[in-house]
Amino acid sequence: MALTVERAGFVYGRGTAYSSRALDGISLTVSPGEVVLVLGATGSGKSTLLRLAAGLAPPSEGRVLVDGVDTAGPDASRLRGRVGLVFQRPEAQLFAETVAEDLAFGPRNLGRSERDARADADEALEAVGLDPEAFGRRSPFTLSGGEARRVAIAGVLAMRPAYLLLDEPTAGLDARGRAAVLGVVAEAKRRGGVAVVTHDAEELLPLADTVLVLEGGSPVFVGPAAELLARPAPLEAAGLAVPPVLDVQVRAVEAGARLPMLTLDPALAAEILAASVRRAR
Amino acid sequence: MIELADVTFRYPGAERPALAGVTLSLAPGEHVAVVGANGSGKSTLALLCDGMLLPEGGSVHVDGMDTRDAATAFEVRSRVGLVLQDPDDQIVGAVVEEDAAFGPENLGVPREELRARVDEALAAVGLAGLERREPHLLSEGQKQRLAIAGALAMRPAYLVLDEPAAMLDPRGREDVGAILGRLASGGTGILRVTHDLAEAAAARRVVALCDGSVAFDGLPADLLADALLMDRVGVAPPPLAALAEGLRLRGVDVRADAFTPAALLEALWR
Repeated sequence: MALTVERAGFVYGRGTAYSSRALDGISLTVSPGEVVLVLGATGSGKSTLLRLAAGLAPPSEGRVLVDGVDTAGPDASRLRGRVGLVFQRPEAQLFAETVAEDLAFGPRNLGRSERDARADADEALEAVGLDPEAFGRRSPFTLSGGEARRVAIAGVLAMRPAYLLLDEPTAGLDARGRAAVLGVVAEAKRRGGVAVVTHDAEELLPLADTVLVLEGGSPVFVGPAAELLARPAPLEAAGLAVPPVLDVQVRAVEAGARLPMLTLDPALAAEILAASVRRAR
Repeated sequence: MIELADVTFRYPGAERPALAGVTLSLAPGEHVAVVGANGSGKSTLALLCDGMLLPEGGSVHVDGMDTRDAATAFEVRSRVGLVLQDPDDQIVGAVVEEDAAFGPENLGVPREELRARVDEALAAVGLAGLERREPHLLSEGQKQRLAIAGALAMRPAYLVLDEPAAMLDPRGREDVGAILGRLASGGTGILRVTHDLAEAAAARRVVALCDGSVAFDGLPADLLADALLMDRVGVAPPPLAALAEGLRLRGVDVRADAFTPAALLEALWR
């Protein structure tokens, strides 16, 4: 059981004058209970990879399998609802008069009964930390940015996908909204496999199990998150910033400091760095 | 000078005003960051600056012209460039260069100069080479750059940007920061809405909005030093500021304006 991308490539506008390659030779596995982080700069192919993983577009080369079923094969229709994709700025897609109506739309379209669809909607709202009683009746257009983002993610969760794919889920949110969405990612991990695409390593790296770093459509790093934390050079190679707290520690090591570990946690980093300075004196 | 005096604004049907009693000014060459939580009134403030929204109470003047005065509305909008939060709301051209030319063309800029302005604006935001690309084929970050280029090509005296870097990657954000810094040094007044305090720290002055009112107006270092205020305003201290605070608590002498990794390292091994 896993969502696997096997040596996949993708070319936009193949065979036309505008033909451009977005992905080349990407392999990736998302297992249930795992968060896979896909990092890359603007135009690195991150969003295209999610589209392939969600079966929205067939890969130009290689293949994408969901629990063993090829998304471009004859059995692809069996996969309906198995993979949920949350687009960038998903709140732009909220449309119904009430939040409850909006959330029931997906499960209803998957052929679930009215009662099941409502139950799925309520349950999804709880999963994103919003009270179904209080929020179900609200108009989606009266929500704050963070609330609207969570409702939009709940709309995908309501379809009970085995794999949840999120494209820049924290972009444009304030501190509270970002913290809430990070909580949703942690909750989604308990329900299935999660893949998150972002150019912000700082917030999501602590939640990730596996990381794929893309540069110009090709992988420059695939491996455990802990490995990237210990040696963050691939982030720079991909045109991404090394998170500043990590950067301080990397530079300290380069200057000769001996640190037992590298961490993204500012408080822990302060403790480690202060102790290292004391030892040096 | 853009001057907001005791400005109040309420959206139709809303119970509470989005802005209440806001007084604020932006001088040519000044670089001001506006921070606050979602719903604090930041975007409303941006839209009031060029007359896109008109105040319910109080007044907004641009170089002495009241934004409510229809006779000067065109002049006001050619002096204040506005970059909206969602680039899809403002991209109109069929290809990139056409979109960047839309603003200055409407100002009646002659053909040869138009070409030069568009090339310069696209180069400034790193979109040179994509002149003939259709906007819908751009990534979100590239669209955001195009929206900025469209405003730059109008050569406005003031540039008001609503989260211009929200969809950009770290390098893109640095680029935008550098572009805005250069424009401010060249005399353009910059008002930039953001909720990233690390970005705000690059401005010389920060205004924090809370529930539609100004909760802070001063130096970035003073806001970063006030944890209670940051919490009330709903902005998170940048992780580097949290690291600096942690080091201070452990007896390392870190200056209040040490916002970069290099400055922190220097403090550690001084």
